[in-house]
Amino acid sequence: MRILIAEDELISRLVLQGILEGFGSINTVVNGEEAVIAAGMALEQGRPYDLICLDVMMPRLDGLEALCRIRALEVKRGITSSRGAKVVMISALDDPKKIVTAFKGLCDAYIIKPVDKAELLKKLKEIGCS
Amino acid sequence: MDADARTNVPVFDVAGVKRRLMHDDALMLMVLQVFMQEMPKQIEQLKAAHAAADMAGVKLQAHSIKGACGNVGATAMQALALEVGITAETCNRNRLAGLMDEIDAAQHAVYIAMQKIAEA
Repeated sequence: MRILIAEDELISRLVLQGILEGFGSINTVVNGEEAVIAAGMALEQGRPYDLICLDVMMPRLDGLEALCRIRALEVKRGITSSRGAKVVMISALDDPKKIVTAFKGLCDAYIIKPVDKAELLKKLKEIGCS
Repeated sequence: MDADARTNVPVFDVAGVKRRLMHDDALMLMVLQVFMQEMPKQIEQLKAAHAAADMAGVKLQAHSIKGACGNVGATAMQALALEVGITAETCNRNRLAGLMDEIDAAQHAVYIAMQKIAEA
């Protein structure tokens, strides 16, 4: 499985890497803009990410906007969201409006920080990433 | 949450971190070490943003510190960072100056608690 982690905060990024390291190869980026570039390059190379973990509040481009742009890149290549990357939004913002926005932007799951390994593994199982 | 309320919050919730990481002690120790190494830089960035009266910068840096603290169970410092972020949003500069004075002590307290775990 190919995994992209987009998280600007180092400790959260390391925790996610530590939890996901057994699942496949991991690339990390530190803002939404880089996440869109990385996802776009992976699509162009014909090796798209299977799982993308996107922090919501990031500099340059936030996770919600990055999600919309990544889905738009997939649509351009004829990939519908059900066949695209599984996207897990991760945020400290326990805000129902942001969750609704994320699901409208076609994410697959949403978890609240601090990351709980058991909860993340459960969500991954639910979306078929285990 | 004011300073009095924050005194009731544990400095370091090690049991919570262990539970969240499903007792992966190697991962926990790694993130604690990185936290202790990196947090001074983040606090310096927070202070620099405060000194420059960059409230958006203070808010963003406080959010980062809050996230890092949450992951390692530094709950008192996490509560302080949350208050810094909220205070920056309301541009209450007097209150913010007071919180800046508290952050070094909060960091010191959590380092002592973490050091005991790291050395155990």
